[in-house]
Amino acid sequence: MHTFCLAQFPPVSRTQHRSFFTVTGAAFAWVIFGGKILDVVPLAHGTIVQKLSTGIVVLNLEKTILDINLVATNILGVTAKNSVGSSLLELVDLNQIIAKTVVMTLEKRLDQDQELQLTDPETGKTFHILISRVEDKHDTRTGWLIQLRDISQRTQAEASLATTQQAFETILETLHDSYFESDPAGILTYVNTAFVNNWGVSKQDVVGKHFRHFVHRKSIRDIFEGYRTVYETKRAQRASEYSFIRRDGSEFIGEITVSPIFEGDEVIGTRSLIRDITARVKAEGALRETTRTLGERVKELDCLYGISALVETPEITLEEILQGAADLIPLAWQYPEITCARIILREQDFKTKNYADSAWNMSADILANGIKSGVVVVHYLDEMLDIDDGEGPFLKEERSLINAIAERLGQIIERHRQADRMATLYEVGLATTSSLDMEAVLVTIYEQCRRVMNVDVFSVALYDEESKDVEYPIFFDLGQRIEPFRLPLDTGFAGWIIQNQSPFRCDDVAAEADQLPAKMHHTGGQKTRAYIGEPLLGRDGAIGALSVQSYRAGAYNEDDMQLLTTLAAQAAAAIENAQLYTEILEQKDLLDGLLKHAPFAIAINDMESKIRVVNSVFETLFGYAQDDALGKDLDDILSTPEIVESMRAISKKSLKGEQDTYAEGKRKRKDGTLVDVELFTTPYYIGDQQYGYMVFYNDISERLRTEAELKQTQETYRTVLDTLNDPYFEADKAGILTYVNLAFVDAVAYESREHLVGKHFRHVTDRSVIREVYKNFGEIIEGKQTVARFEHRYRRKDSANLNLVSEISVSPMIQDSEVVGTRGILRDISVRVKAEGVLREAKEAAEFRAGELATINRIAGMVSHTLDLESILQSVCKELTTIFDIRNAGITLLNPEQDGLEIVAFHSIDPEEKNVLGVVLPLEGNTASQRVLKTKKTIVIQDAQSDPGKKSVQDLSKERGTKTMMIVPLLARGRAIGTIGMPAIDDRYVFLDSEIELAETLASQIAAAVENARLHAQTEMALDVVERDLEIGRQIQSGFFPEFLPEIPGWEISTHFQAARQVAGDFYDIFQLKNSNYMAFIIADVCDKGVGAALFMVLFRSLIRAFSEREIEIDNLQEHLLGIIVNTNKFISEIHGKSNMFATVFAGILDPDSGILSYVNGGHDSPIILDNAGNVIHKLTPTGPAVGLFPDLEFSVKEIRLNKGDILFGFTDGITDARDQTGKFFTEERLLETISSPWSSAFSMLFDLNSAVQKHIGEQDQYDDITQFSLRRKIKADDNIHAVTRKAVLGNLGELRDFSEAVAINCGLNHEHAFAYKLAAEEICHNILQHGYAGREPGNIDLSFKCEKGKAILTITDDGKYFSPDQAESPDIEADWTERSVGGLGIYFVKELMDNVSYNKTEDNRNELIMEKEL
Amino acid sequence: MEIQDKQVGEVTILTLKGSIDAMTSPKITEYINELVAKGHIRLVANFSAVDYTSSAGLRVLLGAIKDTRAQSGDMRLAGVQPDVLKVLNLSGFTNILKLFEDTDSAVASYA
Repeated sequence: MHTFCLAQFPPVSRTQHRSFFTVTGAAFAWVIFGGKILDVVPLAHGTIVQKLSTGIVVLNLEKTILDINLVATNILGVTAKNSVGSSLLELVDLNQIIAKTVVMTLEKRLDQDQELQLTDPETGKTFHILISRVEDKHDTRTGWLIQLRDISQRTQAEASLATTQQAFETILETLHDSYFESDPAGILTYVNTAFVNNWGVSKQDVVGKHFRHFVHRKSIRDIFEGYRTVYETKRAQRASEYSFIRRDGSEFIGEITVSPIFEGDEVIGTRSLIRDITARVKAEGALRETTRTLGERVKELDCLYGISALVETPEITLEEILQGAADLIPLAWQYPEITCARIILREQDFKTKNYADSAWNMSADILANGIKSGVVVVHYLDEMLDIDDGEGPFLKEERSLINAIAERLGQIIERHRQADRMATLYEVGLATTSSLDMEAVLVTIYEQCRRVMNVDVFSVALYDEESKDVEYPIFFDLGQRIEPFRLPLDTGFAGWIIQNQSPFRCDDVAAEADQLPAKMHHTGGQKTRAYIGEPLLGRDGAIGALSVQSYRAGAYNEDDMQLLTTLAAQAAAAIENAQLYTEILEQKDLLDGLLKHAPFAIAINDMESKIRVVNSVFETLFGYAQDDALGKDLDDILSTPEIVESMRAISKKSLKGEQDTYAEGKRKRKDGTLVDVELFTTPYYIGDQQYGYMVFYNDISERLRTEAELKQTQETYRTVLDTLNDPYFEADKAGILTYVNLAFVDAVAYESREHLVGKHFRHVTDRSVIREVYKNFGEIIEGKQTVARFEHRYRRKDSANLNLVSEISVSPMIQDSEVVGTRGILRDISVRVKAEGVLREAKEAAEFRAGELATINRIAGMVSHTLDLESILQSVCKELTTIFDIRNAGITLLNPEQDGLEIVAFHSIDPEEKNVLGVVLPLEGNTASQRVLKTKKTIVIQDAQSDPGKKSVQDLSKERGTKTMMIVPLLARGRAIGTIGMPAIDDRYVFLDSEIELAETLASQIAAAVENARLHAQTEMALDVVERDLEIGRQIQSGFFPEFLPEIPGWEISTHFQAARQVAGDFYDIFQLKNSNYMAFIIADVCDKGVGAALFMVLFRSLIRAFSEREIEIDNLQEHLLGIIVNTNKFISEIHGKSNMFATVFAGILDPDSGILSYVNGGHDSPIILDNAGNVIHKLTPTGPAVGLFPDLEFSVKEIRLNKGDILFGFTDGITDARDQTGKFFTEERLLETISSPWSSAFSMLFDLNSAVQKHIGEQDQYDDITQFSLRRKIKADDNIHAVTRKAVLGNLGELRDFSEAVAINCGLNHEHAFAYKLAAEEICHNILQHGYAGREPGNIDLSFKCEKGKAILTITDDGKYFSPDQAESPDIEADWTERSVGGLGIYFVKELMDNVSYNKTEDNRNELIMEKEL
Repeated sequence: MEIQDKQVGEVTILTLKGSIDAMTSPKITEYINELVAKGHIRLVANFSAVDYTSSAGLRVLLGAIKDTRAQSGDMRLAGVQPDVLKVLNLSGFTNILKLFEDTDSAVASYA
């Protein structure tokens, strides 16, 4: 770079000096002489005049010297010592040229000031002489002042300066660069020849012109600025490029340097040098352009190379390549710093870090195997100039590049996809051959499919031959596994594929909807657009279908289809293998289980009848060890000559595949003795192939003996029964009589016991009570309990004594905890019943007397108020007989078979008339009723006894004397469900139209009631069964928790139990050991759920309590504890081993004085010990297995000391297994995290923990019981504060209130006191969070509660706005409702409910409200 | 808190279950406002399953009686439980509300 150096030029002024005096000198002269101060200031004379370097002479008009200084004396050559007062002329040496000149000048008539300059030839010195007049105040001349100044040095300097200036000018003139000088206005004052030549002008034209005429318009402003800077900064401006314009209008680029010209400190002009750099600029431009273009190309290549390099990186994933490519792209664009890029491939998105959408962008589709798989997008983040080539701000080359990148990526993706497909097939192949777990294989196929194609939905459908529908065991929607579901075979594509055994592909379900062979069944979250499905072909045809679906149209191509074909074949094989394997496994499991656990002897024989396996029971029963028996023929070793033939016959059948042959007989043991057995044989298959058969033997010698004994006992027993006067019976579960005593036979007038046994109980039961009897028997059998005595009426064989009423009490007969039948005893109560009946009828007669309208209302009322169908209908029948002139009314309902009308309610005005309740009137032959049901219209029959429409019931009509009757249909929701039959009292009575209308209105009400009751009964019944079971279990469980926790001085105990919806078997127990101050802590979880578990819980608890009752001595505490557990285990496993019930049990015994806890942990969740700071310091891990599994299990006792402030926390898995909405467990980690903090009390800890658990569970059903106890060793005796802290937000109000109530109950307060604290906590806390933190970030609310000296104290602390309860407005509780408001009521309640309320400001400036209540 | 309504003639029976407190009162107020807006101004609130209320609950009740009585209707309570009755007594609300043993008598009181 060329720089213009100022140092080359000397600082020369081109301006001529008009005065020789410096500004300072002239000023002095004026001060001294112009001001005429010499006369008046003699002192100034000495100091100023004498010291001036200028020679001064003052003369009067006579040229007498008035004053002269030393310098003047020397110059003028005055020798006299005191020249003042002498004439100048006399004193000076006239040979001296200076003196002579001065004198000569003074000789002339001096009218004005004279100024002259002369050089003394002798000394060579040059003097400047100024002779000026001196005037007085009146301007009258008084003399002269002569100033003499030696200017020799300056004259010389000026001479040499002139020479230098000349030389400088010569240089300027010979310069090639244009040089000019200009004044502050920009007017040129000098230009050199080069300037003239460069601009093609003459010097005369230029000087005096403004510089701007020579500057191109586009540079004027910049140049002007440059000059201004020079004037302002007084410093040179370095070269800058500007455009200049020649006279001929042509333009050139010059580099201009400007430096200031100074005069003193002032810049009085500038000098500028301009060098023509047009050629250089052009060359540089060309070079730059070339470099830039090359650079762009290089960048593009770099980008493509970069992508290639990425691809070659070992083990790089496609995702890494695409992210890498996205990051490389901006570098290849013109402005990398504002360029961002994004690559979208299917659902994956790769962006540069700075990625943002903008209006300036370009994109290219990525085609893989000809299908659009993605897109590359480039954005400029800032607006750039449009380049006029159709690509906006982007270059043509960049368009080609983005296309090239897209193409390259397409190839890479395709390659990866091919590789993935290979890998997929490999992985799937591996899974298919290595796993027999169908689920695992299918999930592998799904996961692999996802790698290589767009899989929004993936499904495997399996055809279920039994139900003829399609099951979807595997269904993924956008990665989410959907619960298995079923669809009919003719729904959806999968069904079509299975039926046609043909693959199916659809590129766009929406567009091709009309041409599809089946209708798409959209099961996923969105509408499927592209679909491919393949049949799963097993050995016997299609077993299902495999499909992948995309929410994007055209997502699949032929390749995907081919891949899916292969995968489907693999899947089909996997499914068949898995099915076969499952079958084998099931068989094997079954066999193993049977062999191991079966209570009977088992032998498995192969097809040669040779024994392959026998179990241990077999060994014991027959005395053959496994090794003795294997390979032998069963029929040889167990037979005696008498039975060998029958044994062989059984074996033969089994070999032929005959199922379940049963036999009883004797078999020979190894020792030759015989044993009575019953046996089953059954063939044994794997797949379709019979592999042999199994024989099961059960030793029945005991049974046979018992049976024999029983028979004898029963006979004795029955002899006794026959002597009873009251009838007695036994019946089986179905109600068939198995035994009756003689009194019973008499009561029902049968010939003999044999005629009765084998008959159903209903044959001896009157219709009127048959329902009640059925119901009660049902309850006995279900509930296994005796029901209260109920009424019974016999149905005697001789039809006599119809009104005989008995009271029956029935109890269940139970064998092996199963109800096998009932037994009952009956007692005649006819007399009592009759009396009651008379009374009731009298009452009813009085009650039922009302008008027709009232009746309708009443019936409507009945219908809506009671759902007990029978009582409604019965009442309705009674009503009907009072409204119409009829002898009776009967309501019938179509029976379930639809072939008869069952009379479900009946009432007659004649108490003697036979009740026909329960009678089924066959429809066949009863065309009148048929017509009523069919036409849904009422008909009136004039003579029921002869009417052909009533043929099938003619006998009945005759028997009952029925003639004229009205039959009204019961219509429920448009369907005839029965009839009401009403025979008139008068045989010739004609029913009026108005009566028929009324009857129909009533019938519609009745029908609605029937329908409602039926629906209601169905739901109730289903609910009842479940709820009753739950309720029983809950009652059992809750009844066995300790009602009061024992008090231990120095210790605090808190417990929490929350029952699951389904009863579980958790319990805790805390009690004092007999005759000691030791405390037992038990927490246990009985396996399983339901009533059974609850019962076992009671058993466990009772056993532990019972075994704890033994006296203990101080030194055998551990033995005592061990004894409790060992004995409980023994009892449960030996006595109740069959039930397979067991429990995990933690049992600890605490010595409250020393804090030593001895414990046994039988497989229970480890209780936790926290120290005072809230650190988990111990986990009391199991010291033995769960209790009740086997009789001889080993347990051990451990010991640990609880220090002051320590908390022992025992729990069951209900807390760790508590699930949230998404099924996530609460987990032990979360439990530990929640409890690991310092606690003021055991209660506070349980409260906070359970708040957290409740939040976790939310609205879900609690899955298992939550059971906990917490034991804390107090630090001080009065250490009894329970505290909780919550943020002051509405969501926590419930917990704060619950805390207040729960802590009060925990501290033994009664309901009234606890309620007061509950209400107070809500009111105060609600006020705090409404007003205390209004408009502020909520802080904490602290509740602390303690009970001491007969007083309960709740303290609520917060740091909200100050608000004393005294400030609250007092509500007017007497006000009328129009005047009432609720303001201030909360505080009012608190004051009313509490005995003392006080407000304080704490030391740390918090609000503290203390509420006290005397207990 | 659960809330349901049933129409019996001209009377609307509201059956509430649970606590009426600061947390649940907005929902109940909204429910009653909707009923009143639809012209149901003869209300019977069945309180037999309401085990607790606070001043926030009283606000709901007061709002309801003001709204209904302004249109010559009312809200009457049935089957009020001891803890709730205590709050009504304390606040003097027993003087401004009509209480009944059960819903039938509350409904009948409108006849």
